[in-house]
Parts: sequence; structure tokens; C-alpha cells
Amino acid sequence: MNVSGSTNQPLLEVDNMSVGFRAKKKPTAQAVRGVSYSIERGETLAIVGESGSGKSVSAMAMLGLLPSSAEITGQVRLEGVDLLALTPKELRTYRGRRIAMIFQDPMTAFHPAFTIGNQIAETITVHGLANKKQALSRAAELLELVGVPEPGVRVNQYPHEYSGGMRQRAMVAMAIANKPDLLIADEPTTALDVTIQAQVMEVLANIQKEVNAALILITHDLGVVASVADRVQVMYGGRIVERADVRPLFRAPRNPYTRGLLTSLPRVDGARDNRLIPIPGSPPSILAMPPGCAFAPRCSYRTEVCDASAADLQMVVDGHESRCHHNADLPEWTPLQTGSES
Amino acid sequence: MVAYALRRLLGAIPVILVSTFVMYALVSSINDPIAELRQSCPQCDSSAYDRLNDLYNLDQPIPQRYLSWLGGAVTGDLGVSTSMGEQEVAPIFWDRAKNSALLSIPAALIVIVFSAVLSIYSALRQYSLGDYAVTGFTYLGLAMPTFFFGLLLQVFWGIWFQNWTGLKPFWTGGLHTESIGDLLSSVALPITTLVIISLAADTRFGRAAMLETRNADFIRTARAKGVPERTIVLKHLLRAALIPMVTVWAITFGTLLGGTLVTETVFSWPGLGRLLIFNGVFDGDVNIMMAVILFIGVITVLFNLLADLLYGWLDPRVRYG
Amino acid sequence: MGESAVTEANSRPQAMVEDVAFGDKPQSFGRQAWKRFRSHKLAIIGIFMFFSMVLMFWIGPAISSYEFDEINIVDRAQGPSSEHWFGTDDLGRDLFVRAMRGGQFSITISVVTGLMAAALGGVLGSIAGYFSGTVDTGVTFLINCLLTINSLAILLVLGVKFQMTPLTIAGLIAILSWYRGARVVRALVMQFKEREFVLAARAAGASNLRIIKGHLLPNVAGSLLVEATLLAGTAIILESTLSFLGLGVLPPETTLGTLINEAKGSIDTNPTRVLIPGGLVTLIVLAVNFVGDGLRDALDPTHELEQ
Repeated sequence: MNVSGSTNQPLLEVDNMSVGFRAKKKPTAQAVRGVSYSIERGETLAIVGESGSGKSVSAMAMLGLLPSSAEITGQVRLEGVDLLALTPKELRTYRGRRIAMIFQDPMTAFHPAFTIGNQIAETITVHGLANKKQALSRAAELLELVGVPEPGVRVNQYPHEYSGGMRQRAMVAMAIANKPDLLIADEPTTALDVTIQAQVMEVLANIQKEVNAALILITHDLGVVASVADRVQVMYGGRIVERADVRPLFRAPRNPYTRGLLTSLPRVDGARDNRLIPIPGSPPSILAMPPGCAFAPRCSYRTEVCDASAADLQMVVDGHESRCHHNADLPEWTPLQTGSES
Repeated sequence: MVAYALRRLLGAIPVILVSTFVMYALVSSINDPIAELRQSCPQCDSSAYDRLNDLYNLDQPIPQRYLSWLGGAVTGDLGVSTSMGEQEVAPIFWDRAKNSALLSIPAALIVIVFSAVLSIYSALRQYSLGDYAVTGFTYLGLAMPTFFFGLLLQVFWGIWFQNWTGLKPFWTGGLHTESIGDLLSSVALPITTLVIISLAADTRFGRAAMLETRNADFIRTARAKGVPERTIVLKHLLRAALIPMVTVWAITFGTLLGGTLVTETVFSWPGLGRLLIFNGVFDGDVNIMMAVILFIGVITVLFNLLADLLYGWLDPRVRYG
Repeated sequence: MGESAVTEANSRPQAMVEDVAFGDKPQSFGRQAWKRFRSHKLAIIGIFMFFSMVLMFWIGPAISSYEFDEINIVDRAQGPSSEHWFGTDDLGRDLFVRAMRGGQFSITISVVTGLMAAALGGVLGSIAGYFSGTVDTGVTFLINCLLTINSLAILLVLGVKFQMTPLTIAGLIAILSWYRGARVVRALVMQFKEREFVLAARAAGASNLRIIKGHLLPNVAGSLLVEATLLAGTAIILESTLSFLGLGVLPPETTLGTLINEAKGSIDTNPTRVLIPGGLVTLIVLAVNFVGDGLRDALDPTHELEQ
């Protein structure tokens, strides 16, 4: 359906994007501060961070889904076209057709008064890709594709008649209805039961392969990341603090924040003496960012230079970037390390 | 749904019975035609009293009187008036009901249309000058007593406007049926009065419903799907906000049909409200009072039921079992 | 009524708001509510309006040299002047003092009614919501009966035969309108009684009375307070309507509605006699509603809907 990029141009390039929120009588809140990355067709990029790290905001900003108080700078190029420079009308033709979004809470993300089938079909018809009848039968096919049983019946049911897991499958079906080039999944499994999470992730991963779309997976769940992502970038305080392929990142995280995240996670691989070590303190408010490194107040390697200025995102080893003043002198990472360093 | 409606209707019957009985007992014990006759006509002989007993069963205890009144009311016989020369109440009632409907039905339709338009406008242009104007209007409309607004209209159109221009475009009281123009000019001010209060209440509610829906997740989903803004408003937003609004409209309709008491008084309108207040309450006419009170009760119950049914019809999440 | 479906669909705050607002210092709910109330412009205006009217109504008669029932046939039916600020009525009584006197009653009736109706509705509503079963059926039946009765009609019927004092009017309106508060409280209590903190209290052996008093009432108090302000506003309007129809308090006592009733005959010649008391009624209701809105927004910032 879409002309694939013939050159080496990546599918999506985010170039120095910043997002701020204007508020009366308050300083502009910088939610995203100069983020750059790119993603190829067929690739899965995980964006990891705590709530408030700017990971969701950066995704919403691309699609123009933020409230009007948001100020967005930088460029987001989809095959060379800067989405941020498009008129709302032009941007609309990208939404749901070339870039589709999967939201966190399938309960509230569907309109309660329209059938699932109608809502999936609408994604197709608003872009003029089929008439209502064709779109409805396509909706049933899509439901079957994502593993909703009895799609012929289910297509005429309302969201409240679906279980949580089924609703999220339907959400995936709706997202891929127009074979988009880019899928953005914002915490797609957070609202679901653990047993359902894996099923939905599997469906999502398979579907992505099938339509050969790029997938941006926004999550705070490192378990999900490890199982499906190709590359990972970790965000903190509106910036990318570490970026690497998934294996090196888990095997040898370079950024103190990422290390903290990993040691605060339970492991199921039987490692002994793996006490969980929470990161002390809480994330900074976007209204009052530390002047230097955003993580400095919570970091056990913090020195004066950390409070003075923020580090750049530097290539540490091939393909592995980290934003830390102490990139060179951090101790080696041992997966079983305990809290002795802090 | 039909079974649910029937069950609700059956459930409403005891409510109507108890509330009309309470009202009947109250108005009958307060208004005693025998005592009045004794006072107004000391020289009357026993035949006059017999006649009263005959017409109104005054020799029976109140519960029994209520039952025979109820028996009549169910078959459309609303008894005989005491204050209006022993006329049958039913024809008077229906005649007045028509005059009331002349005000309340157009008023209700205007309220529905305008509250929908105003709440959509106000919610989409939140914090704009127009939104402030709408909000200001709702506050004022809710704070002003109906009779005061009616009097204001009379002062404005009947005095000030006439003093400035020498014209008097509207009748400021009474029902004038000499011509279509007269009819329109005599309903204009009372309808405006009726509309204002309900419109303020419904617009306020509708605006809140729209605002809340506007921020719902499913609106964001629609936007992410590439649905045009216009369709989002007219289809997704309106469809969801309509659910609470329709129920409010049904109740408004019921209130307007049942409650034009004050407006009719201010504008000397020969409708049910005036019938209740002047012929019923002031003249102590039990059958007149009860006819209107029963009507108001039944209308209220029916339109509340209608509100619930519409709610279930519009919101697939609600299923009446 | 199926209201639950609405609240359920709308109760989730937006993810975006969470994302932006993280990191603020935690504050107790009461403190936050008070802060929101203070920064609610309309609420502050409402409070200011209400108390300046209270001040004016109670101090006004003291600075005037007339009494509210002082008849002076020579000066009758005058327009506003420096002598009589609001003019005089058909008996030559000073309308400024009478308006102040009427305002006192209107405000008293509204406050007393609001409190009584809210108390009655709060008690009956929470009992009905908490115990369900027969008690609930009974209270719900009462509520439904009151719904079908037109309050004004009943007030008129009684007003024709009995002389009303401000207190009886307030009491009657409260008896006729408590059901509104009861409906709100009942629905809330039914929601709350299944919540963890109540179940925990019950598991710990707390008595029903203790659970209602200690756990449920504090949680519905805010909504009840909002309801009380709404009821207060309705009470002023009802009372003034009753007085307007000539069935209010016994003369020479007066309320704002009575003043309008007395003035409507001379509306053609002296409309200000109607406009002043009518305007005052409107201002009182406006003030009360502003405060109610501020309270609602302060207590429940995510919820703009109100049935």
C-alpha cells in the first residue's frame, strides 16, 4: 500500500524534539527535552521510563494528540516528511493510516456506545479506503487475525461485552486495520492481568511482523522489553539517558539509572542473593528540573560535575550510548551485585 | 425492555396512590364545604346540605371519599366543581390543559434544541467570550425566580419598550386568539419565561457533560484514528454526551408539562396552573385541585420512566433485566 | 437511574494530567480542597456577595430612621428619594427598611432550610444506602412520592389555611425537599460501603453506627454540603414565590417575595418597587450558587457533572 523507502533513509527520524506545557502563572513545564532517535521498518524500539519521564508525551506529540497548551519544537520525519510542520488536516491523513496508536486502557479507549466492529471499520472508512460494508467485513477478519474467537459475532458487540484482554486484542486489530508503517503502543499491557499480558504481547509482535511495521513500544515493564524489543532507549527527566540493542543493555547497562531500574526488578532466573534494591528518592518534577543531570539527586555516583551540567549522550561502546559524566569510570556491571555500592 | 417498562409502571402505581391520597386527605380536611356553607348561608335549610353531601360524599370518611374520587378519576370522571357552579371538572380540566400545552410543549422543544446547541458551543469554545456569556446566562437563569423574570419581561415590553418606540409587539398577559398574530404575540413572553429557567439548568448540565466527554480517552482514540474534528464532535462527542442529556431533557419536558403554575399566574394565562391556584387553592375546590395534582404526579412519573428508558436505549452498557 | 454507568466511564482521570502533574508535594485532601476553594474566583465572589448582603440587611435598618412597620399615609407610594432610598409603599412605609427586613428573612429561611433539608436527607439517605433491604425500599418509596408531589402546590394549600411564620415555611420546604440530598447521599453510601476501608472496619468489628459515623459520613459530607447550598438556593426561590402569590408571612412582617407581591399592582407606574426586591432575591441565590459551585469543584475537581 505504501511506497517503502528506497534509500537508506530510516522510516522515522525524531530530531531534537522538545515538548513543553504552558501554564498560567507557572513556568513552562518541559516534559521532553531534546530527544532524537530513529526507527527502521520492521524494527521494535522500546522506550522505557517511569511515569513522567516524557515517554508517552513524546509519542503523543508526534501525532498532534497533545492539548493546545503543548509547545513542540524539533522535527519528526516520517520518510522525510516533517509531521510537526504539517497542517492539522494533513496530519490527520497520517493518523490511523500510516501511524497507528495502541492505548493503555482498552476499557476507556473504545467509545462505549458504538460496536467494536463499527469502531474498527471507521478507521478504514475515514481514510476513504473502503465503504462501510467492506470495512465491516474487514473488521471481522482483523478480529480473527488477532485471535478474537467468533469474530462474526464479536464484531457486532459493544466494548463492555469484551473482556480486558479481548478488548486490547481488538485495539490491536483497529491499529493495524490500514497496515500502518508505524505502530505506537503506549503501555499496551499495563492494564491487563499478567497471564493475558503475554498473550497480547505475542499477538502484537506477530502482527507487527506480518505487516512489517515499525513498533515503538512505550513501557515501564522491562520484562516485556526483554521479550520483544530489538533496541531499547531509556528515558529519564525528559531525556534519553541510555540507548542500546536489547541484549547489551540487559547484559551490561551503562547508565546508573538503568542499573538502578534493573536492580529494582525481581528476577526469575534463579540468581541467588538478588535482593531488590529500590532507587532512593522520586523522579524530579518537570516544573523543577535539577540544573545538571536530572538523575543526580538519586544517583550513588554523583559528583560535583553532575550538579553543574547535564552530560551528553555519548557512544560508550559500539552501538551503546549513555548519558553520564562518569561513563569512563563507572565500575563494571555485575548482574548479581547487591546494594554494597550505595 | 418492554417488561422493564411495565414493571416500572406497575411500581409507580403505589407511589401515585399514596401521594394522591396524602394530598386528598390534606386538601379535604382543610377545605370543608359544609362549614363554608354554614358560614356563608346561615338561613339555608337541610336540602342544601343534602345536596352537598350528595355531590361530594361529605358524609363519608375521607378514605372512602378518596376511593370514590379515584374510581371516577380512573374512568375520566374528575367529579364536580364546588367553586365553578357545580360544573363537571373534566371538561374544564381538558380545556385548560390545552391552553397549558400551548406554552409548555413549544417551551420544552425550544429548551431541547437550544440547550444542545449552547452546550456544544460552550464546551468546544471553553473559556472563550461566548462560553463566559453562556455560563453567565446559566447562572443568572438559575438564580432568578420565574415570577421575577416574567415581571421583568412585562416591565420591559409593556412599559419601557413602549415608551421608547411607541410600539407594543407582545401581549403582556392573557390568551388572545383573535388571530394567529395575536396568538403568537400572546404566547411569546410566557414561553420565554418558561424557557429561561429550564434552558439555564439544562445548558449548565449539558456543558458539563460535553466537557467531561471531550476529555475522554475514546475521543483521543478517534483522533488518533484520523477521524476529522467535525465528525468527532458531531458523532463521537455528541453521541456520548447525549446519554446523560436526553434523560435530563425528558425530565425537563415532564416538569414543564406539569409545572407552569407561576408563569401562568404572572401572565394571567387560563391554563392548569391558574386553575390550580385560583380556582383550586384560593377557592378551596377539592376536585379541581386534585385533578391538577393527579395530572402533575402522573406526568412526573411517566417522564422519569421515559428518562430511564431512553438512557437504557442510548447506552448499551445499561441493560434492564 | 443508571447513573453509575456515567460515573464509571468518567471517573478515570486523564493519563496526560498524571504525566504532567507528578512530583508535587502530597497534601491532605482537606488542605487541597481548601486551596482549590480559595483560588475559585466565583466562590470567593459568592462569599463576598453573601456576607455583604448579610451585613447590609442587618445593619441597614439600624442606620435608617424608619421602622419597617411605620405607617405614614402622607408619604405613601413615593419613588426613590434621598429621604426614602427605595421609595415608600401604599401605606407610606419605607421600602429600604422593608427590603432589608425582607432580606433578613429570605437569608434566614434559606440557611435554615438548607441545613435542615441536608441533615434530614443525609440521615435518611445514609440509612437507606447502608442498610438496603426494607429500610431502603421504604425511603426510596418516600423519595418517589415526594418527587411526584409539586412542592409549590402543597405549600399553597397549606398557606391558604394556616398563617406561616418564617420558621414554619423553612420547615415545610425542608420536609418537601430533603429527598434531593437523600438521593445523592444514598447513592454515595451504596458506593462506599463496599470499599476496602469500610469492609476493613467491619471485619475489625466496628458497629454499624460507628461505620456510618466514622467512615461513611465524612466521605459524603462534602457532597452533602454542596447539596445544602443548592437546597438553600431553591428555598429562597420557593419562599419568594409563595410570598409573591400572597401566601407568605403574616403582615406587617415581610419578605422579599411579599414586597414584590405588594408592588406588582403599581408595576406600570413604579417598576423599581418590583426590580429592587427581585434583584435582591436573584443576588442572594446567585451568591449561594457560586459558593456551592466552588465547594463542588474544590471537593471533586475531576467531576463537573451534577445530576
